[in-house]
This record gives sequence, C-alpha cells and structure tokens, in this order.
Amino acid sequence: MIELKDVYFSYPSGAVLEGIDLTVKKGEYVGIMGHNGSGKTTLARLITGLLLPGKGYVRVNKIFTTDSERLLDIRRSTGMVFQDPDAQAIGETVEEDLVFGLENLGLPVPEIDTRIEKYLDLLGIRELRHRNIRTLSGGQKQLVNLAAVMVMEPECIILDEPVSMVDARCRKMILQHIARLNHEGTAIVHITHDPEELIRCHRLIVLSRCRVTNQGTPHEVFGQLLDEKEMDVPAPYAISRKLGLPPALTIKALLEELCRSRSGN
Amino acid sequence: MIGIYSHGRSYMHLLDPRTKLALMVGMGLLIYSAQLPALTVLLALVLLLSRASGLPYTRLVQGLRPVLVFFLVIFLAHLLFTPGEPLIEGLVVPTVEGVTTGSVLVLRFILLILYTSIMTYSTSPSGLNYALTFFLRPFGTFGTDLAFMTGTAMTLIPGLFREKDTITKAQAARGYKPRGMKGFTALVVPLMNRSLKRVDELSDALESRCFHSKRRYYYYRQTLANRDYVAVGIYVVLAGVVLFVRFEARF
Amino acid sequence: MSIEIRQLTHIYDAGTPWETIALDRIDLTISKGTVFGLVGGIGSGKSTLASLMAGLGTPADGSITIDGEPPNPGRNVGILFQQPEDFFFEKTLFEDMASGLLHLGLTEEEVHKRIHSTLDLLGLDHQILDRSPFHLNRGTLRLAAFATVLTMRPGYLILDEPTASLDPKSRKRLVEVIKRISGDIAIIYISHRLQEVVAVSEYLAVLEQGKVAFTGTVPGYLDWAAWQDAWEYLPVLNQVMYGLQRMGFDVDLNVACLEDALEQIRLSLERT
Repeated sequence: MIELKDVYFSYPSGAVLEGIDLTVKKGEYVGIMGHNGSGKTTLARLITGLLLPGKGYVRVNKIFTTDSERLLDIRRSTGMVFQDPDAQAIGETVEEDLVFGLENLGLPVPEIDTRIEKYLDLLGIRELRHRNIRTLSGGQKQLVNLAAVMVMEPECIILDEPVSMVDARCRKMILQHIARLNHEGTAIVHITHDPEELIRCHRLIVLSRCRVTNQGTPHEVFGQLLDEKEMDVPAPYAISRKLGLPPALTIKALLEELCRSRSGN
Repeated sequence: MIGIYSHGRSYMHLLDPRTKLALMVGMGLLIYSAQLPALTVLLALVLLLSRASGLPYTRLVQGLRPVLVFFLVIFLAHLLFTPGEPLIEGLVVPTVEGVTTGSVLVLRFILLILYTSIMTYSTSPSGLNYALTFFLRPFGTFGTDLAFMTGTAMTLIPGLFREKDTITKAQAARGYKPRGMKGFTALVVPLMNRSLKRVDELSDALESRCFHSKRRYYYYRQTLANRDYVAVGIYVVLAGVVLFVRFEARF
Repeated sequence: MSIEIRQLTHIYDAGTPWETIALDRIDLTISKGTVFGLVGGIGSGKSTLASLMAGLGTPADGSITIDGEPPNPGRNVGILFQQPEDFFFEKTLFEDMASGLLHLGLTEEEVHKRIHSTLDLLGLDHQILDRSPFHLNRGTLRLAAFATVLTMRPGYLILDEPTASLDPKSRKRLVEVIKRISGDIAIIYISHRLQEVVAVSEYLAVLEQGKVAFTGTVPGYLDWAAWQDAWEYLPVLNQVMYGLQRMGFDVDLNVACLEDALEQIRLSLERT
C-alpha cells in the first residue's frame, strides 16, 4: 500500500535519509524506531507527500507523492497524528475539529454526524464534544487528534511520536486504541524512539545514521539490538533474554516466565 | 479584548452568524455617526445585549482593562486642547466642548469594543467563518480562502500572547530585561521562531486532513429565522432614529 | 542553605468561573548541593512551582525564600525552560551568552573568562561561540543554553524537561554534566521521564493537583509508589521489581539499572 524506494533526503544542515527502502502492506502494523535526529520525523512526512524525496520515490496505492494533482487521493487514504497535541488543533471545539476533516471529504451531513458519534464513543471522549480544545489536557488533546483522523476512515494511520508528550494514563489508553484500530483492519505506521511502544507491531524497522539498519519481527529486531548494544530494547525483553528465559515483551509475560522458572526450580 | 467564544443557547447565540456579522458592521457605522445622546442609548442597548447573550458584565468590562489608559489619554487630550468655553482658569484650559468631544470619542471606542466582545462571545469561530465565507463568496475561491485565513488567524492570536508571556519570562530568567531595540529583538526573534514552527505544524495537519481550496463549508449551515428578521428590524429602526436625530440636530 | 517554601499557594483567574488552584499550601525544603527531582502529571502545578521558584511571578499566598532572600531570577536562582534553544536571538552565540552577564555588571574581561570556563565545564568547543545559534544542531544548542544559565552562577538551578527531544548522545552528556556540577549548586530536575529523574536525583517530590503527595529520598519514593500501587509513578525497571515483589519474589525495589535488576532476580531465583 505504501512504498518507499531508494529514498534520499537532506536538509541544508546535512543528509538525513539515505537509500531507504520501505513497504507497508494493507492492514500491517509497522513500527519505525529511531533516535531523535535519526530522520524518523522526516520519514513520516515523506510518506504523505508533505516532503518530497531528493532521490528515489514514494508511492501510496501506486500514486507517486510527486503527482501534485493526486495528492488529495493520497491524503484520503493516509491520516497522520503528530507529536505535539497543541499544534494539530484546527477547530475551536472538539466537534469542529472533527467536522473539519469530514467537510474536506465532502461527506453528507447525516454521515458526518454518525461518524463523529461513533468515534467519540469509541475513544471514550463523548462528553468532550462541545469542549474548547484548549482547555483539555495533553492526553485528551491527542485523543481528539486521533479521533479527528479516525473519523476520516483512512486505510493507514501514521503516528509520529504520538505519546511522547502525553501523561502516563492517557499513554496506555492511546496505545491500546492504536492496537485495536489495527485489529480492525487499519494499517498503522508507528514512529517513535521508545521501544516499549512498539511491542505489538507486526514488523519493526530501525532507523539509524540515515539508514534502515534492522528489519523484522519485534522479537527478531530486539534480539539483534540487544546483541549490538546500539539501541534500547523494552526492559522485560532485555531481562528475559539475559536470564536465558523465553523472550517476553511485556512485564506481565516476564513475570509469568519468572514464576514458571521459579516453580521449575 | 475580544470575548472568547463560549458555547451556549442564549438569544444572541441562536442568531444566525451572518446576521451578527452584518449587525456588527452596521453597529460600527452607527456608533461612528452617533452623538452623545444616541451613544448613551447604544450603551444601554449593549448592556441589554450582554444579558441576552449570557455574557456576565464583569467579563464584558474586563475586555476594556488593557485599553483604559489609552482612553484616559484621549479624553484628557480632548478635554484640554479643544477650543471653546473654559471650565476653569489656568495655563491649560479644559473646556465644555472638550468634555463633550472627549467623552464622545472614548464612548465610541468603548462601544465598539463591547459590541465586538458580545459578538465574538456568542459566535463560534466556525460560525464566524461561515458568515465571512457567505459574504465573501462573490469573490470566488479567493473569498473563501480569505475567510478561512481570517478565521484561523483569530484562533492563533491567543497563542501568540501566551508565547509572548513565556518568552518574556525566559529572558527574564536570564536576569536580563532588555530595553529598546534590543528588547524588541529579544522578544520578536524567538516569537517568530516558535510561531513559524507552530504554523508549519498546523499547515501539515491541515494538509493531512485533506484541506483544499475548493472545499465547501456546509455542516454548520444556518437558516435565517424569525429572530434574525426581528434583530435586523430593530437595527433598522434604531439606525433610522439615530440618523434622524443626528441630521435633525444639524438643521 | 536551602530553598524554603512555606504554604505556597497560587491561583489562576481568581474570582472567575475559570478559577484554578494551581498550588495549594505547598511546603518544601530543597538543600544546597543536591539534585532534587520534581514529578507530577498534567495539572499537578509543577510548571507553576518552577516559575515561582525562579522568581517569575508573585504567589497568591505563602512564601519562597532562597538562602533567606526572595527569589531573584538570574541572581540567586536560574531556570532553563523547555526547548531553551528557541530563545536565542543574537547573531552569534557569544553575544547571546554575554548579554545577560553584561547586564549583571561584569567587565568584558570577566564575561569572556566566565563563558570560556563554563564551556570547558560542559566540554563544549569554544568555536561555537562565533557561530549563529541558527546554524548549530539541537544537542549543542541545548548544552549552550545550559551553559548560558550556568554562567550566571546561580546557587540553585531549575531544569524543566532538560533532555526532551535530544538524541541519546546529547542526553547522556547533559546528565553527566548535571551529576558533575550538582555538588556546587542545587539542581531541581523536572521531567516526566521517570527513569531519568530517578537515576539523577537524590531527593524527590511528587505534586498532585497542587498538593505535595510525597517528598523524600528516591528509595523512599519508590517504596511510596509501590505502597500506593501507583504503577504510573514507577520507572519501567522498578515496575518489574514491584511486580516480582507482589508475586512473592524476594527482590529490592530500588534498582538503578538493568544490571542491578538482573542481579537481584538471579539471586532471588537462586534462593528459591
């Protein structure tokens, strides 16, 4: 569905991406992990054509991002949630924010109403409908941003550091919603520096020094990273591997393994 | 200064935003052409409208605080420098005419601010957008784009003030309260820096949500109701009276 | 020698329907020569507390004294806001750093000396002084901003999310510097990255909706969070330890790094 081929990108201050090959299939949950400054934010913007590659190409559903006539089609199938909860607020109230995208799509009014109700309910923020966005907490704002994208029902949602500026409680909630979205068929591209966020993805890609350095399932990639000592891996994974236990990605799984190991003794 | 929108179902809230926008422009013209007696009537009217919109008087008046000094200066300037019948003896002579002219000018400003506050308090930015789009539609895509730009700019203005506060604090934290040109740069450069970043991110978000020039604004469609006709009717009567009094006074 | 905060209260928009109590009779003591962590979620009041401690604003009630004096921004207390690299505005980094110092009344020679010695302390190349702030990368700029506040030689320094958005190398450097200088000045470290706060601080305070929910040492904090079953207050490694404790494993809650955690777990497994 999304295809990046031999993509290069540089800012005046230097090269940021070199020779990137990446594909995302329909319904896949792809995690992209990289440090701050590794080019992951640039990558996010290249996918939807907010930026154009210096070399190589990016295609969404076979449409090139350089095809300016059809950029709208690309944006219809991809929605993006950015890092800063404040910077994406478009309407004054939550409702207006959601209506904005749907008006852009030209949907009939009853359809707009249905969708707004559906997704506000889904994210558990129905009571925020008429609240002024600026009065919400960072986590709530990000939930609204997610709703505003979900409401447009794109085939793929791209998330650029969606929870790094969000408090712990909302963080967990948002990550669960993302996983559920993927369950129901939406492809997800989840970009972050925090490995704990990516334990549920189908395929994990590591960006380092302008290139893709690792690719595979979370287990495979975390295993490689652990040996290379280049990047962080989720703590439960590191602990389980170092103790010689079956690898565990969550704390719950780790505790289960340790209990099993104890009773084994 | 501009009363921030608050969701509600008051009489003013339920008026079509186009009516309100038109009335606001109309009131502006009326205020400008009215003299003292008419202005006091308009003042009474604004207090009534404030009630009708659910905007508490305290908040209404708060909008005037930042400009009070400005008003004082204008009033004093006119009080002391308008030629006419002197009130007291002295070097700089306040005159009766000065009191009148000064009061009229200050009152006009006050009324403009108060009416605008009520308008923005009872009209959502979406509504305002809708009204602007409606009136600018004859100008095609340019018109609707202009309406959108104005609406978005209004949403961004409070953010600018917040940034200014943060920046002044940050510079003060360096023990450093720069004055004059240097002070201006110390504020403006970071302000531009941060604002441009914010606006960049906002435009990315707009594009991602499929914003395009040819889009239509139809969800918040309004139909004119009886109350709109009534409101316009009242305005016409009021305008008639004010203008009649004004031109009657001439002859 | 300390910051004494007594019954500190601050209210926003008092008397309006938007009235919020940001700080509610806070009592805190922060001693010189320590790193004091400040933790709290959104609306906890930690930004307000930071501003008031830095002398930017007057509290509605209560008092803050720094070594017996009121807070004087840039003199006895300094603060590094979030994204401080956005606040540079001069043509060269040197001019930016020097402006505050000149305002203090130092001679040009003293200014030069201070700036250079602070850069040395942070391991920064003196060459960057001649560059424009707009041409340097974020990590370097962050350290430069840090240097700028340090040159004022405040006795107490408040850092608000100092490592946000930094690449790992710059982050590590910044934390190293903080550890190094904390002997001479007191550092108040505000961050929502619990692993970091816990690793750097000796003491901690937790703010919840304008009140102090906890204040004490870091091991005390971990015990308190565990006792509350407040997982969101525990860094990931400590969450693992806590989970193990709850399942009957004999482990210490307070682990600073992965190796410690592994050690604890291995020992515990051997004992069973």
